[in-house]
Amino acid sequence: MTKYESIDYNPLGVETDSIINKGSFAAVVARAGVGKTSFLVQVALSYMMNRKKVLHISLHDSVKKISLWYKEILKDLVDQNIVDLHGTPLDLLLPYRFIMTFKTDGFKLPNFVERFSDITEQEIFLPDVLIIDGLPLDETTQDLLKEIKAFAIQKSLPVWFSGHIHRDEDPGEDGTPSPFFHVADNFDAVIQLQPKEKKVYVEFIKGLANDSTIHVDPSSMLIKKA
Amino acid sequence: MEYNIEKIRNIGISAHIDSGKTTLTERFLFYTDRIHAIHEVKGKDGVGATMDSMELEKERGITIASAATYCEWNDYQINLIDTPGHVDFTIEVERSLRVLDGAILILCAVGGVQSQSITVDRQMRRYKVPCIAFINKCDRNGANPDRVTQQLKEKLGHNAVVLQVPIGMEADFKGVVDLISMRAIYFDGENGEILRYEEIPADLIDKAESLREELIDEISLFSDELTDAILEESEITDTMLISAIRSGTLARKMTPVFLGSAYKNKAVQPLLDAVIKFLPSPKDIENEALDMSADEAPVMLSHNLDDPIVALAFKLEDGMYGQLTYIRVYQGTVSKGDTVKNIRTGKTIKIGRLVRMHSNQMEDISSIKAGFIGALFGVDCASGDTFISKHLDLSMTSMFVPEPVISLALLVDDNKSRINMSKALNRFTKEDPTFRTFVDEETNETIIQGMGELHLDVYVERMRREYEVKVETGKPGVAYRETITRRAEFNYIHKKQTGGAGQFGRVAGFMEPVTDEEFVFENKVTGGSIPTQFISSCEKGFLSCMKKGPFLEFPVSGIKIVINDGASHSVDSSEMAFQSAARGAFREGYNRAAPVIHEPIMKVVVETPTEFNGPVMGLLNQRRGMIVGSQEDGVMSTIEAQAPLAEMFGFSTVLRSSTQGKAQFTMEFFAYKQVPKSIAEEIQKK
Repeated sequence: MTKYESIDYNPLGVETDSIINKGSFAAVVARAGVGKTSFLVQVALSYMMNRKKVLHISLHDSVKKISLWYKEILKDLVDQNIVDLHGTPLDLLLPYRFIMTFKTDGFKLPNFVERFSDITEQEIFLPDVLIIDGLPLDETTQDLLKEIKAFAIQKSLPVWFSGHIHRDEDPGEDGTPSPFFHVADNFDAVIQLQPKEKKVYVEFIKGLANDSTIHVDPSSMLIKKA
Repeated sequence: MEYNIEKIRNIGISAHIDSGKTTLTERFLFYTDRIHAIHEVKGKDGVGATMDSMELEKERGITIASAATYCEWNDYQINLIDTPGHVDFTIEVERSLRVLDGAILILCAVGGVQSQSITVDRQMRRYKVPCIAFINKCDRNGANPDRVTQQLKEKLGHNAVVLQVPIGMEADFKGVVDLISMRAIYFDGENGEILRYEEIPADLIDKAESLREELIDEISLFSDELTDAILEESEITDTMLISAIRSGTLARKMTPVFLGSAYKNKAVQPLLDAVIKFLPSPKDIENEALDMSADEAPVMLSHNLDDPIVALAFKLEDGMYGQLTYIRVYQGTVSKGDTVKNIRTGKTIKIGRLVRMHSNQMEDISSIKAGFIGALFGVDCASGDTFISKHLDLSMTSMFVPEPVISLALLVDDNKSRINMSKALNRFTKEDPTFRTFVDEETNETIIQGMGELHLDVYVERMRREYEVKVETGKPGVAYRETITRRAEFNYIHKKQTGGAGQFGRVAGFMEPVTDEEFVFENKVTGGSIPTQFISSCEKGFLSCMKKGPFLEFPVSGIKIVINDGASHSVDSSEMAFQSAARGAFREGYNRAAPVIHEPIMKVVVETPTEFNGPVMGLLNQRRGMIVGSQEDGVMSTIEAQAPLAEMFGFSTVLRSSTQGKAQFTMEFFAYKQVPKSIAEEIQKK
């Protein structure tokens, strides 16, 4: 038993795969500690359950810590009956994920491309989607984002990012939070996690129509509906 | 020297292979006057370092057995345990950590925190051993203690606090600035034995002052007195700093970082001072035993010399005069002529000769007091046994012993070798609980089992050298297991009526997979269709099939048997008949329950210069390895993978040749997982 059937899990109400096209960017932006990483892990899991291979790149956590995120979130999804694995052992999902970590200041596209070639040229892992967690999305990374965009288009890969925003800085002219507005043009879908009272609301700033029933449960960090 | 428990230190030196721990120990012994000449690990004089007493260790330049040694420094008594760094010998490391109160974690200033350092650190964490770090090899090209300190924080999660600033680096490494006394220390004389204290060099004053500020800021959390002094802007004394650092270290909330070069005899003495100042005495540690008469309830041990004896045998060695048993006394005093009980066997033992070890030389002593480590002569026991006063019923907590994952057949031709091999195996199994041996009934071969290829290699080599056994080895074998994947019914009649008394028994029910248990048996027979007296025979019959599965004759695990019906005969039914019926029922159900083979999967962590990332991943991939991820950290990259043990034989050689010898790896058992169908077919063919 080395394969499993696709498992129905689309936490954002539409097929995750359809939110952005190949070569396009999506961003999940929020203040520190609101749950960007766990949100991205759920996005990644929805791809994996649809048998799409996810290359998860983290610029701040270790491989061990990220593996733990996946394990815990998947366990919660099953325990809370959000996902039915139909008896599929969790291990069978693992070949659909590859974690790469880099130090933030050491993340340069040529380095990444070299690592990417290491796994793709030997067909060790051929990703269908990239998740980049921890790259600052502000004026300092404008050029880097352009380079990543060109790479994503060349390799036909959709890319999901997380972005840190500051509430005490003025937003852009169109209300896009700071400092993300400096690079917002590069993105086709933008989701903002907005903590209000006891809930964390999931607001689509760009790309999808808002579904006010979708939120993040702050106790489990799981994306839920209604 | 007068006994004062507060002036005892039981210290381990834990580190990665080749980070210089044996050299450091050698320097400790030299500066504490235990030895009068320094020998290098792979020295030209052919003597070898004092702590590497085993011939094989000397040859390979690695430390296998944890030889304990004793020394004195500034009125303090220090017991040093030299521990092996390779993951295959971790039982040795774990045993040492069990009896130690503190440890020095050595890191290489060039290599930094490597995968084996991570394993060793995890073990220290498990036994909650407070530690100080020593960044060694600061004289080497590429030495970068700042980077290593950063790695200590990031990779190992230590609150690493620097206590020294290097004066010069690499070939120019001259000495250190002590941030507590704010003095520069240089090491003069042929062997660095003369300490010269000077003013801090002008170019380092700013750096030293700013690091001292950071240090004070960091350690103020552990001392109210220091916090008050900071707030009141009064004088901050050395005593205040030392006391705060000690509190933080003992609580495992900080790791003081020292640096030096043991090989070049630089900054070893300040490290000895640090052992005394910052690592715990036995009194600072709470030790628990288990009360065997009260359902293993934990009992706190005192450090009183007059209380009943509680001591743990943590290491055995086969010496010239018989078995040498290293013990740590937790409570009371073990004296010559005392009678103690081995809690495991219940046997009483009279204490004969007591010695204190200095690597492979001995010094006779009359008693071993609470908090001390020493050795007994001529006591028959196994590693991990607890010795207690006769009226006690306590055992020290049992140590975690992993199941072996690899086996090797031993082939000997002559009778002398056979006898010696038997002696050697008897010794090794007593010394090392992860090393096991048995005779395969079918092939009549002696099989040894252990935790990895190197683990078994070392024992085979020891047999050849120490016991003169002419031994050849077969191909390493993997400990496969069988299990079932679905529920299946059985209904089997065992009937035999040819000659003699007849046999009759019918057993019906089902079997299904279970995940957490090896074997579960449930009796749901109603109405006496199987008479009660034969139920246990049925269980026995099923259990006997677990040793050798009907599928490929591997041990079976994870199976639940439920019997719910059957039949018996008033004359022909017997215990034997029902055992046979159960065996038949097992075979019948098992073949329908989709049996599969499971194999041991190892967690493999490879650390390689980034330029070899691709080839290393390729190697792992070729070995059915599933790469979990890669972590890039400057010039080095760490690749984590899960790979079947069956594919990992000889990996070290291949890895070395593919990376110009620059990569290294650790491997430890992770889990049993199902073998892919194509591989299962190959195993079946064999």
